[in-house]
Amino acid sequence: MYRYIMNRVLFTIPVIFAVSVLCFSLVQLAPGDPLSLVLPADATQEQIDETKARYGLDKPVVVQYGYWLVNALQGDLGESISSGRPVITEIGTAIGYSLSLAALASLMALIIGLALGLLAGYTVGSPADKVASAMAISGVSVPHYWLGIVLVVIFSVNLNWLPAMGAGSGSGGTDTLFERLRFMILPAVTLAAMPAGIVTRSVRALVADILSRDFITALYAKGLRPHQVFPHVIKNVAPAALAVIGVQMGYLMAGSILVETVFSWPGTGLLLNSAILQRDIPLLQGTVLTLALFFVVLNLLVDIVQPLLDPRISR
Amino acid sequence: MSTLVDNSPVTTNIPMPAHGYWHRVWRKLLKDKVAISCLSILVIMVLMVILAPILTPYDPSVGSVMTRLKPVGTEGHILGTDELGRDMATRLLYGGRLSLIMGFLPVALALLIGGALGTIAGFVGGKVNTLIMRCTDVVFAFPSILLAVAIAGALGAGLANALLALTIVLIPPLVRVTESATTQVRQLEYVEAARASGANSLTIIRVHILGNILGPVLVYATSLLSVSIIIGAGLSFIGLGAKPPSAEWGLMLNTLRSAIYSQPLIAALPGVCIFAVSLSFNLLSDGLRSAMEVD
Amino acid sequence: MSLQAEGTPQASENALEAIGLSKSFAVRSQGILDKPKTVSAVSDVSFQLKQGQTLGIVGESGCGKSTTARLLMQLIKKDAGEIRFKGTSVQNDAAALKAFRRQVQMVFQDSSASLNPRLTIEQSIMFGPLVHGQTKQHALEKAHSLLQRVGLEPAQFSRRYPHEISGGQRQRVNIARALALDPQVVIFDEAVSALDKSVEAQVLNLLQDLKEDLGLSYIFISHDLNVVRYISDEVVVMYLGRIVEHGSVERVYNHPAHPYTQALLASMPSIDPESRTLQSPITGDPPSPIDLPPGCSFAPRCRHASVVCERQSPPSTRLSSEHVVTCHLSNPASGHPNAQSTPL
Repeated sequence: MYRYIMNRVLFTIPVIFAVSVLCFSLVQLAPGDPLSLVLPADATQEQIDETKARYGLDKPVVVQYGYWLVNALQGDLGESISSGRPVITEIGTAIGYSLSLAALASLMALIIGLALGLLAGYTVGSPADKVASAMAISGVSVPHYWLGIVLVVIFSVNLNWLPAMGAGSGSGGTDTLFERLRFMILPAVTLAAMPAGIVTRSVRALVADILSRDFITALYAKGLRPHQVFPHVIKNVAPAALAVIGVQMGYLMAGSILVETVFSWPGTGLLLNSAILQRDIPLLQGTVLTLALFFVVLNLLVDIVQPLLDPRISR
Repeated sequence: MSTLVDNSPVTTNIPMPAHGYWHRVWRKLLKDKVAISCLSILVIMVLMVILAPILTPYDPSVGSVMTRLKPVGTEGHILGTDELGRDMATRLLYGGRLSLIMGFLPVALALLIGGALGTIAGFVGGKVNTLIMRCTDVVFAFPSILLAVAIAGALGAGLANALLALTIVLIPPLVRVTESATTQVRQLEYVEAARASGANSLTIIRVHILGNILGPVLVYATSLLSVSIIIGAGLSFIGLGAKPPSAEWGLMLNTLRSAIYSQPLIAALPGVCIFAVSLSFNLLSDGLRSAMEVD
Repeated sequence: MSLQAEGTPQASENALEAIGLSKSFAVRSQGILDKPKTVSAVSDVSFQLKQGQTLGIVGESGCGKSTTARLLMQLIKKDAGEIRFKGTSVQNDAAALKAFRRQVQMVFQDSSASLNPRLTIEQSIMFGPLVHGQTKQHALEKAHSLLQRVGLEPAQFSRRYPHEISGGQRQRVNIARALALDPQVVIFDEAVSALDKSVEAQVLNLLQDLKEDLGLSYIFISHDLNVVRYISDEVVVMYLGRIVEHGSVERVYNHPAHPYTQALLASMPSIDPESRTLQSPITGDPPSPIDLPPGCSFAPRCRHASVVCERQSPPSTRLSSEHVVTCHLSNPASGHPNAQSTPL
């Protein structure tokens, strides 16, 4: 077992390395001169050279990458061009918001997905199954940014129950948990739609498969009632569902930009959006790197935890 | 010699020549009401956006401030007008062109490139396979939306950049699916028999492999169409991709956001179109998969 | 180990000859940290197929029969050894290989996966000839005449798809496909194992007829000892990648010299009440081919094993002109306490 963990971890290292290379090369893709953002149009040659040296842009690309990587490993991702603050600080404040949103959305998706999936799996072919499956495939197909707008129209504009955007009253720290949740509900539901659909479909297939297995028939033959057989079904389904959610949470964290834009939720997604709009290269690089790393590490954790939960998966 | 003649009954009594695989799949699909409805909707949509100039007299980029944000059902503007007074129905039709291209083109390109890479990796095996699959794994380490946004963000706004970003994002999953299917097929006896006949690799791939992997690959590619159109419109939504004053569904969702207070129905319309197309692709993909299941 | 010395006049009568074939596979490594392991699938295998004869190869699952077949067909590259067709060594270049393919063909076991489900039956049979440059018309005629030959009416079967016909019919198609290139040698790898008994009998009779009519030589691989006895002239017994006994069917079946062969024959189910199996002749499970014990590979399961068997790999001993065995028991010079020069 430890061999397996070691193998996976060792394998992840070159992946992280390659991810960092990709992140760094993103900048090289960018058209236009990055210097033009920092210097006025009438800068002298001397000023240009000096700025180039300061940012290390006068060295070959590979060396630039080296500097960037070494700094990144020490936690220094440079400074944001637009705000002047260190990138790592910007990300630090934002990542908490995205994490909490992703966590809530994952929880919602897991509960809804399990409930609908179990319902559908137990009643395959029935109207209940058809409804649940229709909901699932709708969740998977819906453009989540549009769903967010629709939810805002219904719950904010029309019913005025929930706020349309933002994360709180702004002054920070003075909101009650209930207040905070009020701001989180709509974006979380929006984010949860697609993973809920995916989990539903997975669970439905798993449940239908398990119920057709001989060992379930044996349990019934022994005289067990359905509610006694249920825990056995859950035990078999839960690990796989958790694995799906684990992976989905990674997507939610790293892919939340569209939903955060709709709700002006101050997470890493919104940060990424403003970085792109303002062509803030260090911020863009740093954010993408952090999110990608988070995704990789999360996948690694899921790979490691899954065989612990489900002994059928032999590694 | 009597033992030579096979007297066991032929499994089917149809005297005409039997039907090919795709014919059978098509027959089964025709019986699936949901799948056929989705296919029809998609075909109708494609036709409508192609025939946009004929269907509507308006110019999608011309509007008058006097007629801004008229509600649905206004005379002359069956779906209302947007925030600049342009006819919504017209904008949706013309916008559909760009949005549907953002759906189809990246998947088609990724299918060609990813499919070729995956087939080669699966067929040749060994070091070539390891190289291709490891490169794929690295790109896979990025979640798709993040990668698309990052690439499009770095390259700058514009339809071509968005298409490029989407294609790059869609190649790895297609490589994986094709490689997996090819590896499975390659081990089957009829491929061994083909090699034993002395055929070269290209002939074997063409005659024996391609036809047999196309099924699962096509099912997967159809489901990718839904992803592609959502991310594509999403890119336009945050300002990467189609630029104003173009009509494109994702872009329209963005520009109409301020209208959610006055004309929420109009503000939601472009998203309805995206949802409808995406849902149809997914249902069609499910239907295809069922139709391909072995009898 | 060969039945006849090389260079004798009869050597050129051999349709196909294997000399010292060996093949190892690397076990899929567990990860970066594990050392690569190898499985020795086939080890120093030599035999001769005489013109017009049928050579049977028997053994349990995993003994290397199928790997040997694929080595002979050049579908897998051999690590060591030589293959000779009609006395001439087969070279490795593409042209020689293509020419070889015309001469030696194979019929596989699993009949549902042995035909491309997307092609019609006649298309499957035509593939080989088309690859070798024949015209479409010619290949079509050939396919139809072969279908007729194997007992399938072309008008009814040629345009059908594999899933529409029965298992026995599919195997007949496989045979027709193998014959499409007019080979001289056909290798059957468990070709009748998946068929019902009645169908199996029909197909075996078909094979005999074809062999006589077309002057073919067969290699017949099977785990079914009865079938091999019925169809073969000579038989090779394999265990864990090595040949343990080799001889004419009459000799090997009636006077088996190797304990493994004796055990196999004793465990054949029989409806003859006189020949009931009294005790399980073979003990234990087949060991993993990854960690082969030194000495005789059958020693761990052999009732007659002694010290010399665990230490030394037995040499091959010629018991008669048609019988060779690889066992210390039959070799008086081995040091085995029970060694005799005639089989027990």
